[in-house]
Amino acid sequence: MNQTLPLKSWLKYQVNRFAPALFFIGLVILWEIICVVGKVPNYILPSPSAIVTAFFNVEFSRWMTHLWATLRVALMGFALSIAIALPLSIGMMRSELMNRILYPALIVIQSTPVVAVAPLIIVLLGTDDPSRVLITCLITFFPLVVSTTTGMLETPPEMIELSQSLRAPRYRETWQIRIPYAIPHIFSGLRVSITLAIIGAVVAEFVAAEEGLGYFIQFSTSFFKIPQAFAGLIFLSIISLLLFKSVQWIQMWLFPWSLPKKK
Amino acid sequence: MENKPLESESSTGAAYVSMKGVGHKYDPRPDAAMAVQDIDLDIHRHEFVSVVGPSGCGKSTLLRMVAGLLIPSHGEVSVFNRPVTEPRDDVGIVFQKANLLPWLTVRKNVLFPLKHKYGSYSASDEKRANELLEMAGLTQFADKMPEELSGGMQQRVGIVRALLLNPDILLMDEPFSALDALTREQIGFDLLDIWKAQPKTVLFITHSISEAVLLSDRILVMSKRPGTVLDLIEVDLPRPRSQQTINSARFAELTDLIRGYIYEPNTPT
Ligand SMILES: Nc1ncnc2c1ncn2[C@@H]1O[C@H](COP(=O)(O)OP(=O)(O)OP(=O)(O)O)[C@@H](O)[C@H]1O
Ligand SMILES: [Mg+2]
Repeated sequence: MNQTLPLKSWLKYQVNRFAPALFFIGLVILWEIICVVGKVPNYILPSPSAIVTAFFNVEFSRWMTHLWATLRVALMGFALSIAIALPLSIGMMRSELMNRILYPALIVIQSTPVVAVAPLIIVLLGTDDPSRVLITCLITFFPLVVSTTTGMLETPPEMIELSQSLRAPRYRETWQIRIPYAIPHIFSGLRVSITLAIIGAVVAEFVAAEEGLGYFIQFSTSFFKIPQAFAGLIFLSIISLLLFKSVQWIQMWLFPWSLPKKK
Repeated sequence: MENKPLESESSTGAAYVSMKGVGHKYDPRPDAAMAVQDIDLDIHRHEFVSVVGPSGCGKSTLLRMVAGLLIPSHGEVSVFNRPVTEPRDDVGIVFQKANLLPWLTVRKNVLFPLKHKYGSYSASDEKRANELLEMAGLTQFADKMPEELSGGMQQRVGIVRALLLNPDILLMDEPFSALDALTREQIGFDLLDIWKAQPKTVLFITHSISEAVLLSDRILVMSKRPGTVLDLIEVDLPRPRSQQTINSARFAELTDLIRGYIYEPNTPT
């Protein structure tokens, strides 16, 4: 009795701790079983083992070439959209007129399907990096503008009154009070944007590219190498997840005070 | 000859902060209601004046007008015979919430007004910040982040921050209302100590009648919205005030008097 109880609770604790991993492993096993037992053909749904085999059949250097192509475009597009979104948000926060003019324009841009515009951009800017970076930027910058503006506007009014009572210059109100207060919002925007950046890069590759993971997936599919396409897709998801996590790590590292308090 | 003492009397007791017929209407439409109206109040230099009144009667509005953050739509606020048209350098403000910046240490929060106003501060400013922190018993917390401090200590930091530029006028808008009763009483006595060591003209807004009586020289009692002056009460309790003050009969009389103003006219009992 005395021994089974701690054992039981220990088991419960371990199961609880590894629940997400166990769920994931269970899912993969189930997937494998369905494919093998149901004799599902590889071109409909490849089994996990087939995907893994396909992954290792592609040379490592080829993976890296494609990864670098996608990552390069995604990160440049992401950086460009940060460079555009921050000044734009500050301008819109500072000037009511600018806000009234720009906000509708931003919404129009945001609601235009980028996939439809992408071919036009390629025609305009050519088939090289600049057009792909622009497509990525168009997809990523809206959440950044919204989150940065929201954050700056949610600064406690008393802090703004403190600034006014000191008759401090407006730019210091922006840099020393509003922007730091917006950091938690900015980072939630960045987390959304970084995953959109990967999507943007892949969309651009679908339209025109000779390398990149999106291109790789499309090309594998068109040659009916479905397990290989799946391998590319899963690789892409893992990269996307890692980028998302990196944004969180950067926030933890640079702005530990901005993390939500654990109660 | 007889006039001489009177004259010097009047010059030391002259109005320092003066409100004449002060009122404010946030809404510019002509039929809109006033938030505050007809406030006449002269505060002497280094006097401690409290304002009590029901919620929404315009206490914060009044404070903002003295701070120069809000220009009254009616009447005039002046400090030392100069109309207040913009925030003054010799005014420190303490808010209801401590409003510390969560990304700065306690010391840097205290130095923030200098950093914010001028862009930098000197070593001697830092020394002054340390002295103020020591006076408030916060030395050992100087390098901590605000979230590591209790509510009472955060509010102390807020007061110290307001004292940094050595203001002559200290405006406090319900500074202790977020604190528990015990902390609140202690910090009230501490405020009196600070006020005695570094005399300042204080305008103190509170919801607590006993706090107002305990701390003030005079109390402005305001009516319901639109807020106007119901009474201006002289608190003739001896200083220094202490726990005994609270137990005195006069203290009870004064609190009852104010309570009467706040509850009687509109309570259907
Ligand atoms: N910025 C504003 N714009 C419009 N109306 C306002 C504004 N600030 C306050 N008011 C109104 O003016 C009146 C007085 O507000 P104020 O904040 O001065 O009251 P208060 O006495 O400080 O209240 P409390 O005790 O709740 O803090 C209220 O009716 C309020 O709704
Ligand atoms: Mg108020």
